[in-house]
Amino acid sequence: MFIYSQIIFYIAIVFALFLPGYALLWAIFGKRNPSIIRQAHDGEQSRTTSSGHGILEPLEKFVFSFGLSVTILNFILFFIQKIGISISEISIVSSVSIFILVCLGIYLYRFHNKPARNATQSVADGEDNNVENPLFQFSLRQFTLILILILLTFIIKTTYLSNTVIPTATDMGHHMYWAKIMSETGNLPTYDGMPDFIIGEHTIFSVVNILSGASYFSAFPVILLYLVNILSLLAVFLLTLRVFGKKSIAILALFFISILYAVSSPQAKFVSGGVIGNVLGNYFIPVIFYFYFRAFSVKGRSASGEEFLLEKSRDAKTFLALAIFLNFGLFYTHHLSSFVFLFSFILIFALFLVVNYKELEIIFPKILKVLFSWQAISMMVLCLIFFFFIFTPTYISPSAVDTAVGSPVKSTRTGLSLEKVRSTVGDPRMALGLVGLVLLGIFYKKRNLGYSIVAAWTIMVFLMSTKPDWLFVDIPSNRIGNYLTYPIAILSAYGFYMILRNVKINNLVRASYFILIIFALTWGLREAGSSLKDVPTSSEIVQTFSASQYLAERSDETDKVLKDHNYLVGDAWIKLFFMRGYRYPLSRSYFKRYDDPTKPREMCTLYMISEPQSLNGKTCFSETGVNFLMVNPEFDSGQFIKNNNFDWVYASSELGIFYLPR
Amino acid sequence: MQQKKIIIFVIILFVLSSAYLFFINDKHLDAGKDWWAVYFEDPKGESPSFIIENNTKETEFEYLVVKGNVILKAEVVEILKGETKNISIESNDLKNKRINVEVYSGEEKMEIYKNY
Repeated sequence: MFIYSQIIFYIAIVFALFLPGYALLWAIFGKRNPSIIRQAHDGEQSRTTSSGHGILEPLEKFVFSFGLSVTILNFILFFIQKIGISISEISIVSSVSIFILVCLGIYLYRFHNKPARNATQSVADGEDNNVENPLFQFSLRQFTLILILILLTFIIKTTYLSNTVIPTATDMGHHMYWAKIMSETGNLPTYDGMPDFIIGEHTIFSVVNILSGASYFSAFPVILLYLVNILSLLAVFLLTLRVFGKKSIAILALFFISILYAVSSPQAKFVSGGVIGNVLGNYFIPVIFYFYFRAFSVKGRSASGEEFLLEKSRDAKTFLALAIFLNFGLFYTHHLSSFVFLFSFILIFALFLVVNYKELEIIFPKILKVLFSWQAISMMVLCLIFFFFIFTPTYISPSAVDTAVGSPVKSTRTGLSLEKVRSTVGDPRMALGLVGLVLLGIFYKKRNLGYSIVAAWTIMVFLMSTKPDWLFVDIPSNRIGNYLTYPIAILSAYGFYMILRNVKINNLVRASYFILIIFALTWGLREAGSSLKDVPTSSEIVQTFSASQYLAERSDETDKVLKDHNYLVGDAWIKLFFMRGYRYPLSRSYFKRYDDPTKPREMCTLYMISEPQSLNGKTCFSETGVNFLMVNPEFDSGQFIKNNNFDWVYASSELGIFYLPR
Repeated sequence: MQQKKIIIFVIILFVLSSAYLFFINDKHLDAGKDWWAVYFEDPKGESPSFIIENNTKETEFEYLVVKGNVILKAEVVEILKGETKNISIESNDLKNKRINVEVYSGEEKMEIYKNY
């Protein structure tokens, strides 16, 4: 049974989260092997000497097909809902299958039946299908290192997750409620108008649940997020490889993003904590930057003789269309990540145009040619139609914009100190990242959009998290600060590489190199080590679930339940047993929140558990209609025992249920 | 070819990791079953009948049903791990009384009650 459920789970993932994107790439690019960059190889000093960047390498197709599939899946679900079809196993399987078959049909029409023309075309395009792209040909040492880094990443993260995989995380509980709503009702959730939840955070979980039958109370939500996290690391690797054209920098980037601070936010801790939007956002952002980079790697030679990176015009337009499509995938997934992306995006192109201001007459026509291509415009129109007429995210509202934009007042939104930024991204990465930024400025390749992407991405996230008032950003600064990890890992890799490249290798340098690696590893793995000491508390969560099941079966819509968030484990998951609304049951929040002067809130949830016999408590019971209370009896039973109005109807060591007869 | 090896390597590691996490999650949840509970069959109704649910290795449970100062029923029951025991109690003449159910297992005691 275990093996069967496992196989079905993986089939569901492949079918829904990889095949649609892969089929789309087939329909667009066919099975063309990458075109060749003819390079002069001098160890790592490979240099583009002639035209030709590849289309998409197998590793790229693997990593990017996930993001494309998620976006396609969202669009399919929006469409079938719009035409009145319920979301079910049949509708998902049939609609996704139709999409895949259409893509295969297009592929057969475009490529399979015209081998002669394509062969001719490939030759004319300078492609040689029998030769691999040198950029993706690794030496045995490099290849081994990549495998070791991937292996270590899995070992560290899996070890950490094995202690935290039990479904207790508050955020995950909230998100899974909406995913379960979709699974049970067959409709996309409306979120009761709450702008904090976005559809893309829940569709993948719901679809995998519907297709595989995996329980929301199993490890599957964490495992799915884990997959996204791993793919985001590979996306950073691929982006770095394409931008710098240096395998060593890409491998270093993998080192700095994968095993250093592999546990801390926004890595495994976000995975186990169910911070779905951030984890997905950290995948989408580098992937979208990748496609913009490929779209605007324009051909030509500058007055100073510097060569542009090259992309064939047709492919550039296709890449832009894919970038736009993935952009909307991000917009449908997470508002904060979209916000960070848009701010970075503006600075990237501003920076790119400023550093190339002398040659705008060369660059602008090329950009405009790509921008106003039928591929890009039709994709933009299609996405906008979906965005405004088929399914509009809940955060597209004036009130949500007001919440995020403006002069920050709350202390949590007025910016992080440098010390806090340092602790967020980690000392080794911070130090090397700064060095990398300086060196990037010194050795800036202004025609390479990738340099602008890495620089502007880092600078913008840094400014948004440390000086939000400069940009009128009114969002919790630490949430933005977590986005710094990804670009700073790329800069760290670049800085590390450039330092070593420009230093004559002798024993002193080797010793320094060794010390630096040890320093990075020690600091980077320290948190992982301390996190592994945490012992899981499975008994408490099992008791919470059992009591919830008991009460859900013995109560109905007329009953009102209040539970405690302070002393119950996994209480955010209780709502998944009732499925009577996102705010059902009511919750006594953290005590400090009732004392927050900047955010006055209702007090009834506090009074009804903390002082049920008081006048305030009695009034609250009368006003809210609450008649069941779920509390930890060790902390919150005395006040009910003293009061003859309450029955104690359920008792275990960690959970007590009290009933107030009407 | 190297890229395909990397992809296969990632897939294998993911499958192994996720299978391990599924397994360890089930194991944690199973290991968490070292507790017992007592609860009324019908929390909203008049009936004082109750259920003892056992998820511990202890199999011997003693219960007392008390009305005011009078013991209505007392019994030692055997409940195997993973099983429940329904205890039926007559609900006559309960007006203005409190029915207490006290259950003992080893060193532990749980209590539930209803006010009539």
